[in-house]
Amino acid sequence: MASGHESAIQTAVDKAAHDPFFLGFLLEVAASFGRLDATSLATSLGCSVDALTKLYLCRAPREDAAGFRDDVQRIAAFSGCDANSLARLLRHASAMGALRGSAAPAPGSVLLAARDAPPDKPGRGDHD
Amino acid sequence: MSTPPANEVLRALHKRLVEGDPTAPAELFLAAAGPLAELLRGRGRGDPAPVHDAVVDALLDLSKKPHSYEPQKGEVWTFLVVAARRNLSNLLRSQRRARNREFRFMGVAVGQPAGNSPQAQSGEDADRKLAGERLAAITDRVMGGMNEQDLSVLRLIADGVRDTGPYAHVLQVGDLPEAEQRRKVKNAKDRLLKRLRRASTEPPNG
Repeated sequence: MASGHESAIQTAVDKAAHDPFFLGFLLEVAASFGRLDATSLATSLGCSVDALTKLYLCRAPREDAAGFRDDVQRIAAFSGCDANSLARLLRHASAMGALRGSAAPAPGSVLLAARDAPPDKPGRGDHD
Repeated sequence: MSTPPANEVLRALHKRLVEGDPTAPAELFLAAAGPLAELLRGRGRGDPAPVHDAVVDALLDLSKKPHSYEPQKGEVWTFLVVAARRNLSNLLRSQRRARNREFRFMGVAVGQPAGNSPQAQSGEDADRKLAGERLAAITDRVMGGMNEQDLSVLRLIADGVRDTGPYAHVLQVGDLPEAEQRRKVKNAKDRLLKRLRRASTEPPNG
């Protein structure tokens, strides 16, 4: 059973996954288009599944080139993911979202789905 | 037991939010969500979900609008606690309203007025008292203009009676042809249910 802290953070992750203010929203879009589960998403970013929580709760990077570069660097340093991979994934997610017209991800989040999965199932990776 | 983050930590995080640091929201959530949820745990009436929603919304609001916190008015922690409590109170009130709508038939009471009980000052009792008063106002308005025959029909509806016979008896139309009885009963039930629906959606003093 999740502790109060973990449950509150899970609620935050779920809200972040559906709020364009947060990086979690773009990561959900990327995961949705790429059909990635949490483990695959973490692998593509060169980080652990646990680090995805930090990523989800960061503010989405600014859209101007310099701001985007600076924000991605800071976010990568904070979460321990690869900055180039993150930048590539976010550009891809933005482009896909724009092409579709609406970037809203499906209800639920890949990260929460991973956390809800039994420990021995894929998606609850223990990288790091 | 979670320990609230130190004031200087939260002040520094707030400064970073104002400056637009993209990692500051994450650090704020990780530092404050647990302690805030712990603090409000007893106010959720056994359900942690509204507590977590209230806490997360408070942190989310500050992350998006860091200028809503004014340092000269107190510490960030106090600001967050007040915001989370307000959110929780609003959430619980919304839940109660939704429940009350389900109980609108026959004015099912949701609580007693707090009166002079020792807990009268608590937010929960005040909310319950308010909900009870609102429901009582609705009930008075609906029941006030009803005659004994209407109330008997409503009792049958509330008891789940579906046969026409008991309604026809109450409405004193048992001597009419069966089709006519059904029509009279349907009209009476529709009229009363429409009245209840209207009363439950109008403001209490409306």
